[in-house]
Amino acid sequence: MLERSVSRRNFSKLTLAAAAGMVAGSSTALAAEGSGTKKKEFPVDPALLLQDPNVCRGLNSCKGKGKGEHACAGQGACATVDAHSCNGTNQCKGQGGCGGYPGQNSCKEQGHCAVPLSKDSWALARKQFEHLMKDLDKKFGAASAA
Amino acid sequence: MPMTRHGLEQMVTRSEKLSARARLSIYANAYYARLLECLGDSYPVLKRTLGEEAFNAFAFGYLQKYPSRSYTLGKLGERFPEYLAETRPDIDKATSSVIQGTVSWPDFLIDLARLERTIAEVFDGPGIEKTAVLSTEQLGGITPDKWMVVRLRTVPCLRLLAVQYPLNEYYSAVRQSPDESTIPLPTPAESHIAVTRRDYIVRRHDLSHSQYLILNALKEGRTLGDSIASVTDCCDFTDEELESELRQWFKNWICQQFFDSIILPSG
Repeated sequence: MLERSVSRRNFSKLTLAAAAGMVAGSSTALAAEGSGTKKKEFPVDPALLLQDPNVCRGLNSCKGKGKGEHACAGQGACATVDAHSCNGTNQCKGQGGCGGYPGQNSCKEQGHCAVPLSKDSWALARKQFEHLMKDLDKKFGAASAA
Repeated sequence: MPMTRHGLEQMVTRSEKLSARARLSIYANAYYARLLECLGDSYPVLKRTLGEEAFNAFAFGYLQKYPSRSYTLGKLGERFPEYLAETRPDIDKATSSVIQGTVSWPDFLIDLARLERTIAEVFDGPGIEKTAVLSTEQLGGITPDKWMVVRLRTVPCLRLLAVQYPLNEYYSAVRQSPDESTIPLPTPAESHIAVTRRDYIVRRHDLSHSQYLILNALKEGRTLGDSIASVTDCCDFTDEELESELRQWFKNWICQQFFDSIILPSG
């Protein structure tokens, strides 16, 4: 556990970030309602998490498919897809960030966050990656440190 | 006043082969079998995980201890998770506390029962299908200096669970697989789930620990500032990372309709 002291100024910024998110979410919901068609929230396919290119370190499906030096699956040093900074700007399916299903979006421009993944999203993606690899009886190595 | 055997014979006609008592027992047994069936329908994933025989053994014990008391069968299984916790094999009977050890099979069963009960309660309980949720107008009326002290009221159908196994994935895998298939049991891992309902469909969302802490604080009625403060000391995000995450989390939660109103402090 990392002890941190958050200054009043930064704390205020954090609260305003949450507020900005709410306003953005509200506008998105309103736009979806106005269009008369309910947007599918998370069009996802978990199998895409095991396809390359991948969205972050430790998510390569085989040796040679990750970035940097690695001996086997799950040991790539970084994302092999193009980095992008925000939701909806991924170039292809399986290349979006968070939203509970990182790397599993089934359409272009339907990811939910930045790539490479944030720490929380990475932890979720890695957990899902390990689960899928175990289900398929595939071997994978420990992820490199961030 | 209990009826005597003689009184029963007067009331119910006996047949050639069965006494009045034996004839009445058929209905009593059928009633009990129906209760077991209802309990199984309320806990389908737990029943598949345990197998019918083991599930019925638990269910039988439960119905003995907590017989049906309500007019509705919807409440039949409301104390089943509690019963499983009370009767877990690793409990110290003298102190009624769990003998400390690693997370194990009883924890899995109890958590799974809690999840299934929560899903049932969210399905049956009050929802937001006919009520307004937090609107752009309400959000637009908050001045920047007030955001730290506002409170966000969560919708009545939002429930948060902290469990010791990745149950959301397991639950989905079991529900989506054919009845005869076996789904491997997950290994223990702390996991958090939000359960809610939209358009009369129960939705489950995986949460990170930080997301769970913030939503839980908001649900308890703490201010937005206090709720965010609940994670600033325990998550390892830099301020910039946390800022970005918070923006995305709250955007998603608004889209998922987790809140129905915003409350400004009085005065």
